[in-house]
Amino acid sequence: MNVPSAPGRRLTAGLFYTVLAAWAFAVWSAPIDSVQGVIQKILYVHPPLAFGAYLGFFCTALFGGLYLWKGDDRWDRWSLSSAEVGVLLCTLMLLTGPIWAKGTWGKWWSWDTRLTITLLQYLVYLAYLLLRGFTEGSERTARFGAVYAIAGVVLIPLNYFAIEMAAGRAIHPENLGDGSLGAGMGMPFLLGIVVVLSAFAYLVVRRYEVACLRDEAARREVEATGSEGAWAT
Amino acid sequence: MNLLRAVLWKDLVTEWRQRDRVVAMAVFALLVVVILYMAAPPGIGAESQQHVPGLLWVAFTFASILGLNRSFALELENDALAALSMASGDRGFIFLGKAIANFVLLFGVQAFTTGAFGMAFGIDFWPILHQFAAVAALGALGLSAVGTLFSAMAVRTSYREVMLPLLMLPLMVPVLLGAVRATEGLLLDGVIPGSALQLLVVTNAVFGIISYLGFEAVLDE
Amino acid sequence: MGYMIAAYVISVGSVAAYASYLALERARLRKQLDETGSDPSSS
Repeated sequence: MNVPSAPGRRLTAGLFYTVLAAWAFAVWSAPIDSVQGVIQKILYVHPPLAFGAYLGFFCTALFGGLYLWKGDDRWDRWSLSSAEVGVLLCTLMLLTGPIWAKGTWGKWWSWDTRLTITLLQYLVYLAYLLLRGFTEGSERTARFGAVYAIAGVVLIPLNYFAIEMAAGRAIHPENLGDGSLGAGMGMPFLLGIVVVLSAFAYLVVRRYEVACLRDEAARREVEATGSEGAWAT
Repeated sequence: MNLLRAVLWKDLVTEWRQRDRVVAMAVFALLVVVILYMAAPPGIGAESQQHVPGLLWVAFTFASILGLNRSFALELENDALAALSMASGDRGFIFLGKAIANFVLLFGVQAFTTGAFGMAFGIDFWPILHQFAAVAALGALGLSAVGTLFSAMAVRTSYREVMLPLLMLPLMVPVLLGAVRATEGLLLDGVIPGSALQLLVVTNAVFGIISYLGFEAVLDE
Repeated sequence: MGYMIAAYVISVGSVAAYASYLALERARLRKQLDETGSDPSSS
């Protein structure tokens, strides 16, 4: 059996590197904020990472749902890949956020609504990866993962409602981009979003390839030894 | 429908004969109360009223995890899980039977724990008994629905007892927030805040549907 | 300044590290499959 080459690897790689260069230049030449100073440039990486992380969580649930519907392993591999890349981007968002907060508000963490929801969502997808690691049998792993991913994505609006009601505290600016960005800051911000989204696509495609190769290696191992209980991806 | 009744009846009768799960849950809930009291003394009477809702729901949640861990472990030991999943009829009914059995156990433990809480912290639950029972039942419903789904998953993983709380706790946040705020309102003002009640009902409905549908995919063929 | 640089180094560095890990893993698995497989991958 051929190891399938993931669709669009060249395309996503090319897109990613092109936008990366444009983004790096735009961030470099972006004006320095008159109030916050140079630290405000974290704007061009932190909120875009949030877009990427939530896209990852959404895709995990979407592909999980498609797997449950169609029963095709490929959807499960896409689902796992989205989750892993989403967790990576979410980790980076949760690291860059406190760095920015420490520099401007003087404290690493505050229990702001969006922070809390993101942290909870992060824990859900960490649990998702643990669940997959601890479940034996690739078909069962895929089913459990899909069900958990869907439950996890449903949690986002519920949490939003719950935390607003119970402990509503907002320090994040609302309606970003509604003219609230200073002159010359819109372009690098937009490029930041594009660069994170293309990085997401690029990494997911590469992760998908690794998942295919691991499944294939596990399949051959089963074939060679005749033993059950191969679980990879 | 017969399947639902059979599963529910079997679980409750087994529990009634052995009584191990309910007793373990109740003792564990008491232990959580004692540990929490030692770790962060909330005071007695009126001054404790602000902390008691949170403590109470922490005790309920941990006790529910203890009970849910056993919900499917027993079936696995007797190899009944395979038979269950092969049972003709809608698997949704198996879910409902299991979830209702878990709910009944949890509700019993809640009643016991609440009585102990009332005595320990000098809080009179009598005047708000009906409303509080409603809030406790709504919270227990959410915990049992999601908990039944995830315990069916956790029992098939290699670290069963570890996996269930990891899966369950992050998803329980909206239920717990609603239940704690509702209890707080009841204890401080004697009324359930509308928004908390709304949150509990909406969350229960959403999680109930998800768990019911998801259970289909969780049982092995 | 330090904070800003730290944020960018962590972000870009982590993505680069993850991408290299995936590339290495891919190469390793390909090699393994080519050695063990009776029907080596062609693409």
